[in-house]
Amino acid sequence: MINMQNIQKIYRTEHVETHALSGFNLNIGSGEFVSLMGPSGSGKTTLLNVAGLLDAFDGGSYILDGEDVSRLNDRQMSRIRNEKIGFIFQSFNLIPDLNVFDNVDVPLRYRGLAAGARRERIEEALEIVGLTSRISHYPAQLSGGQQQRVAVARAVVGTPKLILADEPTGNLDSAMANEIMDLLEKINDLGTTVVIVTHDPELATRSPRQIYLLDGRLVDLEKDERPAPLYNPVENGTADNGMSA
Amino acid sequence: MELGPIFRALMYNKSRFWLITLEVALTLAIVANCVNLLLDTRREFLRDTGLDEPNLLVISTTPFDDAFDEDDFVHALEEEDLRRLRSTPGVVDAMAIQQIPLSGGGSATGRRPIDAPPESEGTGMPYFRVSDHALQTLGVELTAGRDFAEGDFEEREEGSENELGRNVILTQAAADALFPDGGAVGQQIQNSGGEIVDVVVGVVRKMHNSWPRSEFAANGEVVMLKPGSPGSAERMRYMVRSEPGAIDSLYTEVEALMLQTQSGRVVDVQTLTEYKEDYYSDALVMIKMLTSVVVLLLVVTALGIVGLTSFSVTQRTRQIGTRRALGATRTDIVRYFLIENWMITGIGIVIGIVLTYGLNYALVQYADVPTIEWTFLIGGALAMWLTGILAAVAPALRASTVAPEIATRSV
Amino acid sequence: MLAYQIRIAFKSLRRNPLQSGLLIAGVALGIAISTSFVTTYYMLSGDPIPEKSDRLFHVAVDSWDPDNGWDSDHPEYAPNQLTYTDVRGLMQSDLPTYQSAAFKAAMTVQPEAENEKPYREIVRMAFSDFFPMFNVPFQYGTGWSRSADEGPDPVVVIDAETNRKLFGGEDSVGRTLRLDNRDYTVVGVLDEWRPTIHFYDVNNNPFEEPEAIYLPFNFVEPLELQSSGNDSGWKFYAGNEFQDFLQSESVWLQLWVQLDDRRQQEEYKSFLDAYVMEQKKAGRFQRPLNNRIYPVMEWLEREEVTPDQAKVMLIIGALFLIVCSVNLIGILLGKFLARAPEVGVRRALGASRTSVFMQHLVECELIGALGGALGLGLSVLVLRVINRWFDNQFQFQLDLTMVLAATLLALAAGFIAGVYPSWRICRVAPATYLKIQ
Ligand SMILES: Nc1ncnc2c1ncn2[C@@H]1O[C@H](COP(=O)(O)OP(=O)(O)OP(=O)(O)O)[C@@H](O)[C@H]1O
Ligand SMILES: [Mg+2]
Repeated sequence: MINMQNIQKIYRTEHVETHALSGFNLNIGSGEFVSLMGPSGSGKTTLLNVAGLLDAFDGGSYILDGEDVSRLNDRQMSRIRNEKIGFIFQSFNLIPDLNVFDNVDVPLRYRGLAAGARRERIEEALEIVGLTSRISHYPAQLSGGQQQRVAVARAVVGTPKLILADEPTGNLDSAMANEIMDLLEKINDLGTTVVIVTHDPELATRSPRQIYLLDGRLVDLEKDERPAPLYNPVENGTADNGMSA
Repeated sequence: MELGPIFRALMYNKSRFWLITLEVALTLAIVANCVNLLLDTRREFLRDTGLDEPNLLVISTTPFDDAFDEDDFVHALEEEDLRRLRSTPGVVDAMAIQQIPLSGGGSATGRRPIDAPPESEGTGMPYFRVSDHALQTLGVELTAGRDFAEGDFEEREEGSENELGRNVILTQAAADALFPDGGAVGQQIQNSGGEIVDVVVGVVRKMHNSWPRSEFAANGEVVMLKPGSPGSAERMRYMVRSEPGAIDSLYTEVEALMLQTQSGRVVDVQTLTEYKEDYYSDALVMIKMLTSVVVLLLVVTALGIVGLTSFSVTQRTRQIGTRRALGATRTDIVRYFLIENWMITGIGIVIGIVLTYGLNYALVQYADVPTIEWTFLIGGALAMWLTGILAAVAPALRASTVAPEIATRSV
Repeated sequence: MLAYQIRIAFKSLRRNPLQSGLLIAGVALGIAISTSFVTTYYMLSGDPIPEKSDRLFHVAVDSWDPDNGWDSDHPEYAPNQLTYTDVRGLMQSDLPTYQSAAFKAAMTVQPEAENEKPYREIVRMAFSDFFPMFNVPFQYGTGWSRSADEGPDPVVVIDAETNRKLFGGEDSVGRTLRLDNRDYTVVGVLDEWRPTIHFYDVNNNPFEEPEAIYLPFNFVEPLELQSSGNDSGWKFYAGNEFQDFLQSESVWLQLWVQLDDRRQQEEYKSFLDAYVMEQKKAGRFQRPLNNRIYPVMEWLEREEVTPDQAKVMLIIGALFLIVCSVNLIGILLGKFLARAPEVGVRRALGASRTSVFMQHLVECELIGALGGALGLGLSVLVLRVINRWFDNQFQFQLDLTMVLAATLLALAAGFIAGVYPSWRICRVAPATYLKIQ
């Protein structure tokens, strides 16, 4: 799914050059569930931005889902984000002016689907996160956990192949956090690749593969300490509840 | 594309929505009414006077020499002046006249057909006493009957019957007012007491009298030209029709020419256009004031829209980043803000149209302004629409530069 | 407390100078346009002689055509001027404190200096009472005496401009002025006198300047002077002589009287009625008895002196200010709400709702005050431009009332525009912005 070679990202400000990603290789296979850990400032968000085409990188190559994404223009990148990637953010990033339905609708709108098809997908997605009853609430009328569940629904509604989550549980209590993790696992079970940044080792242990970043360098724990995945995600991915890609 | 959510998001932020809407509506109402008023005034100012306006020069002379007290002296001088004016290079023709058309100052009397019952109300009749060559000098077009002939200018014997009656020429509007069924040429017309009886010998297509701004006398189009010697010991006036392009040089030459003939008088030279501009001066100033207000208002409103849209972009930076992360292209973002703005301006325009009519109604009641025409509404609406779009472009473009990675930044 | 709040408000304005500049400029523009338009209206319609306008009366008697009234839209109106015969008759009264018939004529001024060209000038023919009745200010000398009216004595009053032109601006009392080949002795030189409305004669341009030269009315007969204003007639008269005109039913003269109290006014009205009844016996005045004396403002209203354009400008000016205020609300709302997180923290730290509200309102008022001050300065410029457009025919200027009104208006605009945004910001919940986003 993600194939990075010698990936580099350098932030230049007036006085300092920060090597946020200092040239490493990373491979994440289709259907994997990966936790990304590391101290603050180690480059986790940067890696996620690069992986999600939210930010350009400065060196190396990146092949996403078999497609070289090093030299794409903005329109092409937008399309890939829209169709292949779902994002979940630490601060939810729901659009405050829109109600739950319209929030989940946003990525579908940019895909230009017909109204009927959109409605069906939105309702399905909300069902997965269990918020069908809050469909016309505004974000300000929801709890943090509920908001993040809407964000999850929004991330999966377009049936992306890859979900990137940057500390999705950072603003939630542990019960809520577990619930979100349950959801992500459920989605992963359906075949979607999930990469999640977390500071919580407890949560991280729930994922089959953990990657550590340290000062822009990669330490892949899977290779060192953990056994290879016990199942073949692709085989298990043909699911029963309509979430197939 | 996404009209529904844009509209619903708008309604969630009502205050911003209503402020722009209100501003647009008010601006439209004011601009449409101002434009209506100023175009109406302009049209009034520019309407066809029937005269060869751009080429006409007015010479006003006021005597102070006692010699002018003799009528014969005045008449002889008038003839001499006209002879010299007509032989000046660049002059098409010249005439003597006692009042100036389009100037706001003139003479009026009343006339009615001779066979009309005595108690019937006559027609208010602005008139000009003119020398020969009047039609040629004024540039008015004879449409029926004949021009003045030599005998028409002769004074009638003092004490003779109908001493003051003359062969006169009317404008079409005057002829229509007196003889609605046509056939004015050859008819006799008289004043209310019946002491003066004139005969209509000709009709000209159009000529404005001294008060074209007034409703009186069919908006200034009723005129009677009465032959005679208009000069007096008080004042002698001439109109000179120049060849195209010669008016400027004549303007500077004729004063010396007049004083050379007779120096016991004060000579004042102006173009007919100057008289007209003087007569319309307050209206012309109003055009300037209204134009400035319209421009300023559009600028203020445009700035207001820029301000409010910029603010909304700033406030929604994070949401824009999120949208970008979720797959919106830059174009999508620009489109979002433009559509939002069109909606606000659109609703503002709809409300503005109602307000425009309201304001126009109030103005019609309070001050005598014309009823607004729907073309101005369309024009005003388009102007507002355009202002709205232009004002939203810069903030919308700025919105499109928000980077998608904003979404992952912690606050 | 207020001083502290003003200081904070200043700081807040300085934080974003561009935005604050726009806000202040917006108020200034609104104030400048509305004040100058209102000033224009106010000067075109205001009382030209407030100290005694209710004691000065225009006299109207209905000498018009028995068959057709003077104004078909207003059958109750008598003609707007008087005949020579009636002026002669009415001037016999000794009831008014002051009274003067008048009209304007044009004469040629022949300067003494050889190289100066003769020029035409508008002359007002009036009685000696004209000057005290209309509070006409003098720079040198005075008006002529009542006995000079009778002569008539060859005396003349000139305005300051003419005095500058002909006598270099010095005290010219006693000097000679030559008009239409006759010599007159200067007895008075007017001080600058420019009532906005030419209220004592609104027949032609009601906003023209006062006349440059004043001569005793009774020269009308020896000089055979015709009016350079309007004359209107309804009845044909035979003869070409000047006397024929004087005795005709043409109306071409204005008559003003000063009547100081109710009793005097009633008596004068009875006098008018008695005069007209007497004339009826002689076969004149065949219309119903319709005599009126109009105080200045009523007369200006009847003659519809205020131009429609001025009324339009008044409304447009007011609306312009409203648009500027709406604009102001919008920008203030943006400015304040952008500050919501900070205010949320302040609220959490104990700032009361009232103090937040007041703080922001003070800031709005500061913008209003600064904008108002700038706007006043700007309106002086705008008025100068308007004056230039009118060829300096008028001298529109701010007066104290307008300055006060503009100041109040600016503060009111600041207040009205500020209330809603201040209310919105003071309602920010202390907790909301402590949470992330
Ligand atoms: N826009 C930027 N400009 C300059 N430097 C940046 C920028 N964004 C990130 N950095 C730097 O890059 C490094 C990596 O930042 P990053 O946000 O990826 O860290 P992180 O691992 O997500 O940390 P945290 O766990 O605190 O979120 C940091 O040293 C940071 O200062
Ligand atoms: Mg981070």
